[in-house]
Amino acid sequence: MNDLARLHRRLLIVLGLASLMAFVSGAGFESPLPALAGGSLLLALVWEPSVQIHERLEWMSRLVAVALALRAVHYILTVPEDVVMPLVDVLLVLLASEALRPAATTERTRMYLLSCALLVAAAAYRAGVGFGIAFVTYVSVGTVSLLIGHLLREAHRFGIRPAPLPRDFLMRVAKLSAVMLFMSGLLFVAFPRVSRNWVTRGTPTAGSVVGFSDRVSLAEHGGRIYPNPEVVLRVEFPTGERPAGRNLYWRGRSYDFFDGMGWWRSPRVRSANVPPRVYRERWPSQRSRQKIYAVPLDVAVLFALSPTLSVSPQSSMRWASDATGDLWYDGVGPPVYEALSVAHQPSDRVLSEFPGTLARADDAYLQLPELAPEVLALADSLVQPHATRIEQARSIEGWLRAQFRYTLDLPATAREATLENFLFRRRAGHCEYFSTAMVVLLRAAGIPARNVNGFLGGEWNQFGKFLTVTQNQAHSWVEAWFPGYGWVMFDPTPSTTTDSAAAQRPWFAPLRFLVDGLEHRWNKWVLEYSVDLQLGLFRRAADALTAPAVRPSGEKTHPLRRVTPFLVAALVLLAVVRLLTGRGRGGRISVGLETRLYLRLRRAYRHTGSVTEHDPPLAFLGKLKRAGAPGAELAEAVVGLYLDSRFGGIDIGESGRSRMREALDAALRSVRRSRRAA
Amino acid sequence: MKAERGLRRAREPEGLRASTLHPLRKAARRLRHWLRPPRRLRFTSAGSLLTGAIIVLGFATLNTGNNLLYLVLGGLLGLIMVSGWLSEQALRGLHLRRRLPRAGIAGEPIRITYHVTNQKARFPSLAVELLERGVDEPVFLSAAWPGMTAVARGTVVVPRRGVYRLDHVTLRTTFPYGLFVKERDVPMPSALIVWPRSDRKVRSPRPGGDHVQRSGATVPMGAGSGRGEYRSLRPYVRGDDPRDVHWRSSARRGQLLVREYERDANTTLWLCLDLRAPENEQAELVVEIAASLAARAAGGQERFGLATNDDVVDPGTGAGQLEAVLDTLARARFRLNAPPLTLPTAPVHCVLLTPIGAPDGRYADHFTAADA
Repeated sequence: MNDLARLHRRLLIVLGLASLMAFVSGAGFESPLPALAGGSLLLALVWEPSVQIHERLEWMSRLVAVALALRAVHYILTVPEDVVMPLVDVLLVLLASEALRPAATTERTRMYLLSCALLVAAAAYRAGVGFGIAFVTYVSVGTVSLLIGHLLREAHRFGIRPAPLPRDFLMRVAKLSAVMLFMSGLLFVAFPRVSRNWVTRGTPTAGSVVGFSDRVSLAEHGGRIYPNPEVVLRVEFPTGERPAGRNLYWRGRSYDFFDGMGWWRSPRVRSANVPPRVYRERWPSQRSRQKIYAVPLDVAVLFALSPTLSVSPQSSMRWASDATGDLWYDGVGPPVYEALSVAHQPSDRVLSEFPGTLARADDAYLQLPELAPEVLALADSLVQPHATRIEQARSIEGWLRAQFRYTLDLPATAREATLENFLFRRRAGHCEYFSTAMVVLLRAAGIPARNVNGFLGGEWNQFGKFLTVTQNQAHSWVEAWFPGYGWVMFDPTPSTTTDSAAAQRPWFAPLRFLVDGLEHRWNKWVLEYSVDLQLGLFRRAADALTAPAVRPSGEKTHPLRRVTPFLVAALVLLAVVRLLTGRGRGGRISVGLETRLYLRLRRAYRHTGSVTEHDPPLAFLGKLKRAGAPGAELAEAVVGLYLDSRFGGIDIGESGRSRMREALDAALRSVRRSRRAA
Repeated sequence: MKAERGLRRAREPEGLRASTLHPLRKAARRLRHWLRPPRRLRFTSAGSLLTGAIIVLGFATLNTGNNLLYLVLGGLLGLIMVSGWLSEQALRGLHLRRRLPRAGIAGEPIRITYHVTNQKARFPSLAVELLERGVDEPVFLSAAWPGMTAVARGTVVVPRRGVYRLDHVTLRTTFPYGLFVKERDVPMPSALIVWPRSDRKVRSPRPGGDHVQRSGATVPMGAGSGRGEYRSLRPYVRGDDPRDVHWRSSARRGQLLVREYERDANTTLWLCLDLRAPENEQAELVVEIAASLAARAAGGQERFGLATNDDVVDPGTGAGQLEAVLDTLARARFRLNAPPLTLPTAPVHCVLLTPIGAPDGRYADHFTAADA
């Protein structure tokens, strides 16, 4: 056992840790076994058990592994859905025991097999950025450890001590992992994708704060709604910037039936939704396009800016719009889709002037529970002064916004968690109360309306140029029916709520943005990389080559901008080639000027006399003299100065170097002259 | 090899002019040289396993379209690329010198020394095996660092005598990951002489050659002394000591004449090996008997010579004579159509060695394989 064996053992542990990290980044700690394996690996870093202890541990772990393997077989036969996890359990137990293998044993391949198998198993899950980091680590460490392992094996085979390896050699080998990563990247980007329909397990779902299920209750009480920074949507806009000048309402689900305590979706609501065509025609506004990377929620709803005109799926999913205009999807994995929406609602003036001709809304949108007479009176008092529907709606919206306070504190008791209590006594609540109050007041005034849940706003990630919408931004608002136009959106919740997020931004927010940006890129470019993205990438590359210098908009494309991707690609390629051929400047043994001058001299006299490559300086000089080579006395001066500086421990200084250079130049001249004469 | 180097040296000025005239051709030649040595590549068991795994994983990747599997697959393919490049580096730029002993003995380990100079500027050659053709056991070179010369020693055991042509050394490596065996042949023509073993216990040659029984009593080899009475002059035959030439009489008769003494005929042990026999175990045994007799004679400071159907080693004494005899024995080739054995002297002074056959009374003694 020597240092190399110890180093190899340590590298193997790092390999094990990397593969475990890759696995955990997708599957998490579902069972205690990843934690056991991790603990064992970390323990192995600080403690190397004796061979006897290891043998005992191995024996025990084999027993456990056999038991787990039997369990896995049982699972495979009886529960065919998840066959990966039971198999991984066996792997993890073996990994835990393998981690504690002392360096003295000669078995060195099992860890590679186990860790590689774990890495492949990790790919079956929807692994996060951690997988990428673990993969890079795995490849870098693996390149070196495999090599050391091989040298140890060979030395063992021939019964000799392995040659010690200098650190810089190991570093150089480690750099070669760049080649492997490059290959990975190349294969990943360029290999033709034929299928994009793959099933991953462990798809993360964001536990939702605001329910999007069939019933949303108003009656929660006691305590407070705590912020939940879990990301639900990441949205990219074609401009690469956050659309200015409007609140972004990510509409999810609408509710029509209110029972006094909460909202329901009636099973049979007649079509009251306006087809997207109508919005296009009636709302001659700009279109807004969004590309949305959603995290699956507990309900398969698609979120988009309202009103949505069309959706085009980018991942393996199908979508549908139901009678209420809500968007649904069906598919595995997180949905990725592009949505086209109307950018602005018609102005109040347009809404008030237009004579309604569209079909009236379903009566379900006028449904009211049994209400206290004060509520009806209140509705009357709010709408009475106004003639048009839009004025009436704005009156209610404005009244709620002005007279009520927003709070995340829930009512203390169930009795206080009623609409009447909110309207007449507490006069404070969260967005669900505001929207419910407005819908009820609108309906009491005879205006069809419904409660809508979704998300409002989002945080702009400057690093990744996308909008992150988290559970914190869950919101509830109102849609009222306008016969000429369809559903028009109102938000009665005081606006302080939307700005508070920015004020409460914690100190580590930039870091979170960075991580979130990385996560987004990972999802977008790795996990969601598909044939469409691949074709798009190739098309963009081709376009960049053939694109006109002037864009249709008249804006000139900077020539540098067009060639940049190719420059980058060329640089990467060059770096790899340099690494391979070892011609890079950094890695080369640095050679002094004196040596370089001497070597030039050697090259010049390469073919003179019987000079060979292996002659030491003085032998070289002797041969030159014997052969009567031209300029041999000049060569003698160069060799003399070289020997002084290189081996004599004498600093020949600038003057010495210039003398050397002059002598060399003169020698080279005489060589050229004699060659011409010949 | 020497002649080749000389030839190359004679051509050098021409080559220089050509290179200055045709830089393109020079580049092409350099490229050809760079790509030149053909490599042999085969899988190790680990390599086969990995390749199988890659194929399976490739199918799984294509089938599922799982992007992470593409990454893993790319990494594994990259591993093979890196492995190929590193193994190439391990075998490239090595300057090899082989040092063989003067000769080896059949069945005994023969030591071969290799001096391996790594001419690469940066990359060491690690875990390289050197292999002679027809030899199973490779010589292992654990490391040759850039610019350094490493020495690797190995032994070969050659079971049979002979002259073995060594035309190239095969450099073999499974570096860096043990996935593939890569081999490259370095031409290095040379010959290894393997003598027959000469330590067989053999009976002494029978009368006629009774002097051998007195082994241990050194016979001084000067002209006359210890050889008994002067008998006569006789014509010179090959193998006679030049010091015995009687110059005056020779000049008179116009023919070389030598002095003959009383015990002269007995003092030279002529081993006459008849090669007209199939090459088999018995033939080998007879060669070993010859070698053993020669070795014993050399040890006893006796004069001995060897005659075969192809070659004659004139009588002599000492280690040099033994080497000459063993060399000839190493080259001896048994075949039925060999030219007849011409004896250098009368049969009665010769010890005949044949693989098989009945005792032949005309010779001083007759050894067959059965005497081993």
